[in-house]
Amino acid sequence: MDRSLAPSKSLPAIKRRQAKGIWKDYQLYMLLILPIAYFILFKYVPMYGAAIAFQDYSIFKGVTGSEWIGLENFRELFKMEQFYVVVRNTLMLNFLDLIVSFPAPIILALLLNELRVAWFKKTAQTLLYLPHFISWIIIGGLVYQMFANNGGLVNNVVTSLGFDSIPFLTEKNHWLLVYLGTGIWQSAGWGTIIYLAAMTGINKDLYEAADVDGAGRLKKMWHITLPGIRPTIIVMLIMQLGHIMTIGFERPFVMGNTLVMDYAEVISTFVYKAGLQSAQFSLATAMGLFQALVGLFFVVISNTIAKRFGEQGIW
Amino acid sequence: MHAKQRKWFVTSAAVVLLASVLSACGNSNDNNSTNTSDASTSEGAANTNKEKVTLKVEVFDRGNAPAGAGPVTDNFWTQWIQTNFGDPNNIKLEFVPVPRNQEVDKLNVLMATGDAPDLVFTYDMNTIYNYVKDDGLIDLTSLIENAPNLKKFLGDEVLNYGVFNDKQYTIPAKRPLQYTQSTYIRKDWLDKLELPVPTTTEQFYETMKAFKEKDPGQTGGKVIPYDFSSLDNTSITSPFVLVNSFVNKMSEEEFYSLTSSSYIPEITKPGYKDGVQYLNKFYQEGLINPDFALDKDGKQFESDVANGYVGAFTALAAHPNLMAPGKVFDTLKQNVPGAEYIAIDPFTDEEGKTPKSIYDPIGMHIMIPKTSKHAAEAIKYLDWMSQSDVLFTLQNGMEGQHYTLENGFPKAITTDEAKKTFYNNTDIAIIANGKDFGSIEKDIEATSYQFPGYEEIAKQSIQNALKDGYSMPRFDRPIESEIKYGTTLKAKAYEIVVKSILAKPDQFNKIFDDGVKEYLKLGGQAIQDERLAAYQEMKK
Repeated sequence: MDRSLAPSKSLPAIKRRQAKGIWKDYQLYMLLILPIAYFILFKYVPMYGAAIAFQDYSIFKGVTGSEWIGLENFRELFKMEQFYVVVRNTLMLNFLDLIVSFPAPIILALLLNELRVAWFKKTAQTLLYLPHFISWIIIGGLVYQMFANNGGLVNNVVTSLGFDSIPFLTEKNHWLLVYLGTGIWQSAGWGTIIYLAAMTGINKDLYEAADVDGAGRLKKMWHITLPGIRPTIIVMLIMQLGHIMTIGFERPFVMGNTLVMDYAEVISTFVYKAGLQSAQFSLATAMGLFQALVGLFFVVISNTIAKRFGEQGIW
Repeated sequence: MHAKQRKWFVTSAAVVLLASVLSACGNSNDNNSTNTSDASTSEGAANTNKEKVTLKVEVFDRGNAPAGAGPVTDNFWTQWIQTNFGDPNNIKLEFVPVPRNQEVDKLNVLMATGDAPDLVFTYDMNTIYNYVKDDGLIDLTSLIENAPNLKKFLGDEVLNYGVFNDKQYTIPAKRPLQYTQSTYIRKDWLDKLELPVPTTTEQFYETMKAFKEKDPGQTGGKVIPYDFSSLDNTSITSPFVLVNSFVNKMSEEEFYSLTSSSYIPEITKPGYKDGVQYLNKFYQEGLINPDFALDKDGKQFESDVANGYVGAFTALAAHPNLMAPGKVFDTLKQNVPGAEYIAIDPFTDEEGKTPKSIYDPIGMHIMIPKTSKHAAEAIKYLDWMSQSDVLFTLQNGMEGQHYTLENGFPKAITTDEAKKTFYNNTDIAIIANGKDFGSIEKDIEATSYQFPGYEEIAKQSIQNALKDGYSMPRFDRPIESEIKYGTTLKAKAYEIVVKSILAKPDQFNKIFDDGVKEYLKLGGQAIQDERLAAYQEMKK
């Protein structure tokens, strides 16, 4: 690679060499055809559908037959008051989620990493992973049974102690706490996997050296483990920031109710209501496209910042 | 050696690739050939072509198939239809399941992919307007001329509901009984407290207070005197009969412009606010379920009723979820011996009447998508179904196996064995929404026989639900702004009502009034204006 870029070679020579390289490894490139075909077929081809954001789309005329109307859908979108509410809610829920849910798996992984009894560690990990496999529909049911005003487990305890029941699900700020807490419960255990994997890659010599220097557990965590997984943390953070405009559909939809719509109506639920339920497909697609653009913006920004701070980034 | 291995690996990969490409080609060839043959059959329908036509028919899937019964797509009745209609006409029927509570979403997807069944249907008017506007439906005006049984069964009034822009775009199902909701109350609780059956709103309130204070069911404080579930759902219960009874008399013009279709709460009608405030009073005094907004599928409501916690509720009359064998009322009887509900009609207006909105004389709209190549067969199927003996069998089953005749009316047999071959027949007999025996009295009686053990309450609930009923005003053209803002406004109106019911008394006015202002701004005003214009145009 380095040699081919050496200044002594002329440009055609480099091209020839590259072509020769492809020819030499043609078998490997052939193997690559399948995955590339997959991405083109299932990731890029469907993107032509995004065109309906610029159309007055009719489901019967299809993408090719519908009338082109330029940015009219976006204009209408930005005029809707609801648009700003759902964007604000999406950013707010995701940002708060980032603050409380992002550190959780790191802390958990640090704790798990310190466990020395193998069977206990294994069991604890398995139990922590489990919530990840429960669908949001079921979690929604569990939350209702736990936190309802009338007959919810938690409020039964609260009222039997002589206090007023707490409107966990019917008052928007309480609901927010439940929403965030459920997120941690569901995802923290699963999130530890990647950090634990990163921790196994840390050179054991460092810990031994620290032992010799008389460092305690906390010191070792702070000065060896955490810096050791810093690149992983940064990459995870960038990916999370890229998702700050995208929000899963199930969690807000299942956990939300009429009383907390001020917070629970987010982009995904709005797209569902406007797009599938009222058949305003163009408007919903415009919303989705806008969301993707903002998401891209966040990824680029955070990646650039990460590079400024001397980290690797994701490209 | 190494190179050899690699070569072998690559060759095998290439073979796999090639094989998959070939098989894909083969499949598409197969598809093409069947398609062309289908088309040729439908063109020459009279020909005794050996090729079968596949007719795809939408069917609701309510996820309620009993153990041992087949799914909605393949069961006793789909086979019966195949034998009695399909085979003689050289048609292969295929039933396409659509989840009941996502029917509109699923239908839109089916229509957009061009893969919709030949017969589709929906209750949602906005969806129908959209399809008509986008020219996605086959004009059936001339086709139904070939369907004498269908025309005779539905009649002109019903068929007229399916005419848009002077063309017959949909075939509305006939709804012989237009009832919606009735109120139910625990008879054994009334007896225990020696209270009369409430006949006015005021009496109803007093009764609910007594239920709360004296807890006649000994629920240990779990009593819910008046229960309903979240408003933004498809469940069977709501408090809107109570709320609507507070609405004042209006001029016809006001009635046309302030009403909304597609079940948007009509919060701008004069007096509506008082009704919501009355429910707020209920909430303050602990007479309703404070968690109603969380019960999004109505299951909590059903379980509370079945557990004997609920004093009264307003729900669809004569509904299977309550009265069918093994459902809520049966479970209640097991849980609380002696528990019994009766149907009442207590919510009186300023004139002492008990007004409530009822259905149009039609059920869902049946449509044939433009993409369908089998419109003729689809109409033939509906025509076949309209014959009185066929419809009777589809609605009631086989004599001796699914029903016995009592006073000339079919009475359902409710053994587990019978249920295995009879559970979704109302969803199969799509052209009728209820049984038609010629007069309202007979229809009510016949409907009540569907619920053995609950004939009386079924009958009474239907009578209550029809009393002083009014149906929605009808325009001869769709209200465009309602199509556009409908979904958003519906969610907003529900939010306003729910928040007002659960408001602190001193904040009630502010929450409701601000809500109405916002509602009007979000498109409510536009709808009213357009409705008013359409009304004046129509009266010219």
